[in-house]
Amino acid sequence: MKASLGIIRAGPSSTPFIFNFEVTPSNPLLSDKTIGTQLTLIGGGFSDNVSYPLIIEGNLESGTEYSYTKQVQIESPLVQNPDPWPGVSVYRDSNSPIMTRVNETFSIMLPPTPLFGWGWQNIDLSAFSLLETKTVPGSGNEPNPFGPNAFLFKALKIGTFQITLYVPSKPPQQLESFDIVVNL
Amino acid sequence: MILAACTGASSTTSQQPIEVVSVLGPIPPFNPGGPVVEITLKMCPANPLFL
Repeated sequence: MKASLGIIRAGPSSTPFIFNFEVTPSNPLLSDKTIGTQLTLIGGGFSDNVSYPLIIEGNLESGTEYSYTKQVQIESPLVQNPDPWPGVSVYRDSNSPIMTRVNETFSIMLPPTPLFGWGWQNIDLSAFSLLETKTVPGSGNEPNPFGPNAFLFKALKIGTFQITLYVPSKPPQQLESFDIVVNL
Repeated sequence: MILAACTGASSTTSQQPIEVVSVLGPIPPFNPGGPVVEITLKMCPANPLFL
């Protein structure tokens, strides 16, 4: 199964942008199931609020071929999912302490910053576990082409700790220190 | 965001077995070669699909 997105490619090539989906007779796409794939549009560009043709092609189980065109708009993923980890508390202000419990997760999110995003450190390495980082938009939905600015931690032991996030330049800049109280 | 809904279960080409769930881009991180776009499709009911 494939889908061809009809947007203009810069340069002499007019090759369409074809998204291939991993659907085979041994790995069929069943009813009500979804499948996604990503493609880097080399030389391509698009605009907001503009519709582009998407040609969807494939075969049904019966062998019947199908091909039809949908008009689609390309939405910003930043608008779609403003919370990096749904259901997890998000802390953005280093002036307010983070209150959590052992084995619970919490996240810290800061504005996008140039260079390579934010780094982080804490003195007691046994107090927290970094589970995941993400590169997400700022609170005003401004794009973040730089690097990680959202961090998902898990508290490992009781106590009062501090996590410092910084821009990894020399010397480090924009230090943001979060006080964290971990209860049982 | 649902861009198009299923038009009904069918094995004929006159109807559309695939729903476009979302078309998202640019997906971070920033790629200087071009934007990354993600397309998610959904199979409408009663349409087992092969390649």
